[in-house]
Amino acid sequence: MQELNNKIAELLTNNLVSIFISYKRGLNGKIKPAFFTKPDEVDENYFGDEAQQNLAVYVHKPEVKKYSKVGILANIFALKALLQLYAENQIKDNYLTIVTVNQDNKVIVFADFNEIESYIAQHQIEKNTDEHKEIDKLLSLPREERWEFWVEQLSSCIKCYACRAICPMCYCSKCTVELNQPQWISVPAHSLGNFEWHIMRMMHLAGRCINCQECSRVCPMDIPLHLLTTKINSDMEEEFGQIAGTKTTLDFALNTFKVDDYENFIR
Amino acid sequence: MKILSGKIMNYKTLKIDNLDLFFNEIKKSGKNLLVTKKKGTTTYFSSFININDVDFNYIQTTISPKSVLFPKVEELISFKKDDGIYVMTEPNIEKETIVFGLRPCDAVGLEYLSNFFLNENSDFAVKLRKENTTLITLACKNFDENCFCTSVGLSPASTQGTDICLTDIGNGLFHVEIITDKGEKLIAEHSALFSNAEKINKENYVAQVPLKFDCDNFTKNIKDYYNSEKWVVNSLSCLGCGACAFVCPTCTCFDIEDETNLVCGTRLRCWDSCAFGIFTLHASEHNPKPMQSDRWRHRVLHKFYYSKTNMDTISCVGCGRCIRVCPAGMNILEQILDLQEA
Amino acid sequence: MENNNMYLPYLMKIDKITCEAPSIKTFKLKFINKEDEESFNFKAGQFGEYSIFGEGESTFCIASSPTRKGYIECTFREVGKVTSALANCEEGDIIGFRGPYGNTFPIEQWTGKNLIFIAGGIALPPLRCVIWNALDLRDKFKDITILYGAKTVDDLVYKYELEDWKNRNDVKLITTVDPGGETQDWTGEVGFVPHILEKYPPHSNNTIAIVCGPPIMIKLTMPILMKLGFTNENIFTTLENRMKCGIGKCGHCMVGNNYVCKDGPVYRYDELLQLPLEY
Repeated sequence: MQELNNKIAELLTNNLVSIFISYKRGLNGKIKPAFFTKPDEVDENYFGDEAQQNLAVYVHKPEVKKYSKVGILANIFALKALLQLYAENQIKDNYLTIVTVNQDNKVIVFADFNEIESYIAQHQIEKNTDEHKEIDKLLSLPREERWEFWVEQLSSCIKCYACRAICPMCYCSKCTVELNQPQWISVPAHSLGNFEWHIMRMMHLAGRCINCQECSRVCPMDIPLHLLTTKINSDMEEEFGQIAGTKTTLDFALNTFKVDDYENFIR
Repeated sequence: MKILSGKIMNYKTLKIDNLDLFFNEIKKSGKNLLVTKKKGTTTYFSSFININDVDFNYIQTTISPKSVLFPKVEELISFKKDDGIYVMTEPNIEKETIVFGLRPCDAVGLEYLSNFFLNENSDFAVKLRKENTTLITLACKNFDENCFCTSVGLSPASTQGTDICLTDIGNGLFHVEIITDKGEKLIAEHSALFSNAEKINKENYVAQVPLKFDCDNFTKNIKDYYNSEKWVVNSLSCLGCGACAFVCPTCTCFDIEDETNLVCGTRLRCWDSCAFGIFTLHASEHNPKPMQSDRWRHRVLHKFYYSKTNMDTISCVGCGRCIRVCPAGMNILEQILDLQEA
Repeated sequence: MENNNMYLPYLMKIDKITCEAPSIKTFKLKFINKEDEESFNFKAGQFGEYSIFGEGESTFCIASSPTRKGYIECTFREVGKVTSALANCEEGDIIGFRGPYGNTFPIEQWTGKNLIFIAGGIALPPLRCVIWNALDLRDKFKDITILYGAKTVDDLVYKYELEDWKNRNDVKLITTVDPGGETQDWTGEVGFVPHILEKYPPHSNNTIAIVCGPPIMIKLTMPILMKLGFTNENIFTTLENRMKCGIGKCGHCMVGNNYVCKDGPVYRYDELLQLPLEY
């Protein structure tokens, strides 16, 4: 992808960025994140179908932040994540130069987040009907059977927190599980502790998750976390008309209070 | 890795068709039998139910079998307040377990793990579990680009650390090497299924894994690499999760947590990882290893340097799990080769 | 217990609680079980894991001297989950204790030498065991000097013992507080510990220095000792690091290839210099 490589090299040469986050092929042939700091490194750059990881997660990393001007190659999910992060005030102005390659292989360097908002509006992600069929099948089960399904799935969790580490929206400097006064969530990976962790995480993500499904991809135990993320996303859309990662301004039902709320407990 | 030139006690053959009978006999004897099962694209250890579920051709399981000695959660003590005083009880660890189908590298990994826990301040739980566990390894016919057992002094034909080793020699037969008394005892309990055999040249029947790096050279020079920038460069993609430590057969770090309902409670031990940011964090908020690169460097140095000075062996078996499982493409081989590059 | 479970604690009764300074308390602990008390012994420098059942365990040195039988003492600051639960305990409560763990001050090698103890703030407790050990065997040593400083007068720990040491004529005690930390009636020195060390320089000839304090204090104190002629083999310190198991297994306290809980916490300065700065 010569046009992309040229653009990245140009950004580095002209000092518009001091580090550029993209992809490259690793020693074992798999595609992995690349962190280019010099133009001659860009020959290793990869772009294509094998580039899966959502790179937006790296914009929080202190080792990356210290470069102050960071460039990033963002696929559609990374764009949504970055837009949501921007809406949540997690991205300083002039920190990022965001680049994407559209379906016609054209390289786009976004001038600002308003452009990203328009781009995302024009590139809707199709709903995965297989996933929704699986969710509907689970919802059709009696409550006890659905419970048993998740007990079995979550009992294999080893609390490695790969799901948390890979998620661009999990950026808390001290995660709830790392607090011990009180110990909100059990640390050991027993069944109850695993339930507490996953339920809490989904609740903290509802309305913010952009459904990139990286958490599910990276889980060593193959827990179908994507079923949970897809469900919370469709619930937020149905109940509140909200889709995360689509606006530059925060529109978050779960922390918004309206005086004319039809529930009276809050009045 | 020091390879023990363990004397092989006996050779046998076992018809692959007899495996079902062997497994069912073991199950009937009341022992816990773990076999390798396929689930989607991964293979994992699980209790034997049906011979058709058993996966013989996997390259490596996602997660190591170390849970048989060192489970992800276990009780150290339980306590109850009784009449103003605490009464403590200890867990019951008894069940005899057979693990079938693990790879030779894992047997060496489990040997390191049990040596680590049993030397000085010996761990009662690991000791009991080890006494009650019999290992049957399955020599590798295949490998992938992430395997590097030969670079750390091992091989797909290794019999170190196992009780029984099986090699598929074609024509529906396993060649069986009995390494320990424990292995001998198990075979004797099912002797009708095994036939006597002679030694064979195993190299003809196992994978040939190419060398990736010179380990002796690496461990000799490793203390000079401490201040290298290459630790930082190679750990930029690391996100500090615990996946590599948890799937690794030789990672032994753990946390101790109390859980209680104010009437009674337990003190639990669970897996921990030196990659987590809070692993070394003091209550004063001082962190001796504040950057992810410090923690990454510690992991690699522990495997190739610290365990060598403390236990006279490196503690990496080249199984490649950490590379396969890493969500962010971290690769210990890439780090080693980068450091060795002049 | 037949299993030899290293995680089974001794049951201890809190015999006496002393409030040393804001957020700092000392517990005097007695063994519930007579056989435990009789078989228990330790050496100066060792530590233990003190636990509240249901909250967890915390690591503190054994702050009392091994020359005194029948009880042990620990001093801790309320700073986290377990220490907060300990701070809420009352005399008569039961807690758990595992130990003694770690290596020891080689006090038997110091016979006939001068000793100077230098400590700052909450770092006096790890030295208190070896100070009392030395004072209880006073004839074995030559001059004993204690230099101790804290942020303010209120932050000084073991206030009664400081009086005790001040009044002894076989110990030279110098106490100091940071500039601004003095009160109207403070009669001790005012200045950071390293500066006061320069003001009252000890002779390095035939002297062992035992230093314990926050990293910044150690960093500034060591060059002064070097200037006075102390060598790396004549200076000892005791480290602290995040600990869980206390027996060299869980990996939290590792500094290079050392487990601070097992290979330490006492280090001679030349040994410490061999280790990476991961503490």
